[in-house]
Parts: sequence; C-alpha cells; structure tokens
Amino acid sequence: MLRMNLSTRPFYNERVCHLVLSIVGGLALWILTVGVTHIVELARSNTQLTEIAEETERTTAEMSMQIAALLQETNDSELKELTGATQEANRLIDQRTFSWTEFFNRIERTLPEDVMLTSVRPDIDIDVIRVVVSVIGREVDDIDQFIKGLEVTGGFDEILAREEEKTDEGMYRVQLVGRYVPGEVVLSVKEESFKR
Amino acid sequence: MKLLKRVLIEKRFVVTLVLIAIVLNVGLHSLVVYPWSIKVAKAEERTTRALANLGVAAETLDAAQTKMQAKLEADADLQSFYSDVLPQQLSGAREITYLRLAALASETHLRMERRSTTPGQEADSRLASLRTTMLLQGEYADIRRFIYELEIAPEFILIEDVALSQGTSADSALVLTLGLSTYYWVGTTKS
Repeated sequence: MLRMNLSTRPFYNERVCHLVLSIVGGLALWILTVGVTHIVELARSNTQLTEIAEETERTTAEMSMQIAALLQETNDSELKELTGATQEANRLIDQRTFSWTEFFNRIERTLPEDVMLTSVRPDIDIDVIRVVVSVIGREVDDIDQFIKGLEVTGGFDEILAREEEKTDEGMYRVQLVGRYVPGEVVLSVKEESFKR
Repeated sequence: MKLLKRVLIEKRFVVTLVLIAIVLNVGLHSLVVYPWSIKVAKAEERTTRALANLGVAAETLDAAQTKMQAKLEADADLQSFYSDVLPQQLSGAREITYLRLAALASETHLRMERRSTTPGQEADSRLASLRTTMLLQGEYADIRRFIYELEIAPEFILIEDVALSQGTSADSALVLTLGLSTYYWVGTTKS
C-alpha cells in the first residue's frame, strides 16, 4: 500500500522534459559531429597547404640557384665588355655600309660650279652620322648656296661653317660640319634654283 | 527549483550524457579546432608567401634567362663577325688590303703615288686595325669608280677619310688621299 503523500510531489510533464533533453542532446551531438568534420577538414587543408608551401619553397629555392648560376655567367663586367664589343662591331658595320656613292651623288647635285670639294670625313655614331666636308669656293655666297642646297635635299641637316679662311689665291677654304641622313633625298624645284 | 532539481535527479543519466556532449564540444573546439584553425591560417599565409616568392623568382629567372639568351646570341653574332666578316690576324688584313688596293687602283686607271700602312689598336678594344693611307692620282670619274668598287667589294675595308685636291698645273689630274682601315680580332685588349 502506498503510504506517501502524493500531494507533496508536484506533477511535471515527462514528454516536454524528454523533448528538451533530446533537443539539447541532439544539438550537442550535431555540434560535436560538425566539430569533428571540421577537424578532419582542417587537418586535410593543413596537410595540403603545407605540401603546396613546401613544394613551392623547394621550386623557389631551385629557381634561386638557377638565377644565381645565370647571374654568375652574365656578370656585369662581362656584359659591359660584350656591350662595348657589340657597339664597336655595329659602329664598324655602319661605317662599312655607309654609301660613299650616294653621298657623292648628293654632293654633286648641289655643288655649285665655283665650289670644289676638298675632303670628306664621316663620323658614324649609333644613331647619327656627322660629316665634316671641306670645300674651297670663290665667294662666300657660293659656299652659302652650297650649304642651302645640301639642306634642301633633306639628306643634310644642322650644317655649320666651323672654320673659314682665305687662301693665297683669294679663295675661301671652309670646313662644314653637319648631320647626314642617308636615304632621304628630297629633290625639288627649290633645290634646282640653287644650282647654276 | 525543487522541480528542476527533481527533474535533473530523475533524468540524471540523460542529463549526464548531454553534459558530457557539451563538455566534449567545448573541449574539442578550444583544444583542437581553434589551434588547428590557427595552424591552417599560418599554413595559408606560408603558402601565399611561398607562391608570391615563386612568382618573383619566376620573373627573375625569366629575365636572367632572357639576358643569358641575348648574351649568347650577341656572343655568337660577334664570333661570326670576327671570324666570317673580318680578316684573320694581321696577315689576313694585309692580304685584303695590300695587293687588292693596288690592283683596284690599276683597274680603275688611277695611279698610286704613295701608300703608308700603320697597325693600331684602340684602348679597351679586342680588335686591332690596319690603317692605310693612299695617295692616288687620276680623273674624277675614275676616283668615283674606285670608291664604288671598294664599297661593293666583299672585303671588310672601311673608307674613313676622303681628301681631294687639284694638281699644281692646270691640266693635272685630281689627287685623292684616301684613309682606309680594316680590322681583325686579336682577343686581348691593349695594356
């Protein structure tokens, strides 16, 4: 026979209690599962990233060694020497390909009757050819005509009478310096007007 | 409170299991997930840095290889110029100038009055030069032909100076003073 006083033990809903515990427990288990999955993913990522980093660092180290070896083979002094030799060779080739025939053709086309060409010396640089032309003329006007004629052809530029002297014969000996541009002949009516 | 205590006591097994799960969660996240997250973040940083370094190294290597390739090509071109275009040694330079120039003058009806030859070498150059100064006499047309023939000749001879002058008498021919040079490889610079 039950002797306890049932009125002292209040009633509570067992189902609600079970439901709450189940929800909390299920949530805890779900979080635990997610946590474990996360750990597995983290471990996998860590392994992959470490492998990639190690492989990349190894490749970089190999490249650095190759770079060092290449730099040793192409050191500055060697390159400087090579550059100098190449520039020298190019200068000689430019000098060799300088067309004296074309040059004389241009001079002849503009040389007035009272002016005589006495010497020519080209100074060929990397991107500019300077020429020193010495002439003898009867009058300064003839030499001026020659200078203008040369400039009109388009083959000569920045011409300057650097030195001038009067000879014993009363002629003018002039040293002209200017920039020569091969292959740019512009013959015009204007040029013809300078010819005698 | 009494009721909650009673529920906890009566459902202590299930409650304990739930508590264990919660403790496990907290422990797992604070002791494993968090440190591993930091580790992975560091690994990511290391990988990013390594990839950036690799990029820089690849660019540097590419530049160095291009430089090396250019150097090799320039070297090959220079060697080809020295061996195929320029005469070999002083004897080769003499061969293409001495007899050849005299023959050319004769072919173009110019009279060779005088000729001088001087070997030389510029500082810092591995090329030596053989400079010839020729004094030729003849008609202007022949002088032009001589210069043209020299221009189209296969020999590497440079015309460096051209000086023209008229002879003293009225009917005398033109005098051409020609400065010519050829170069050959000596391999060492002038000390």
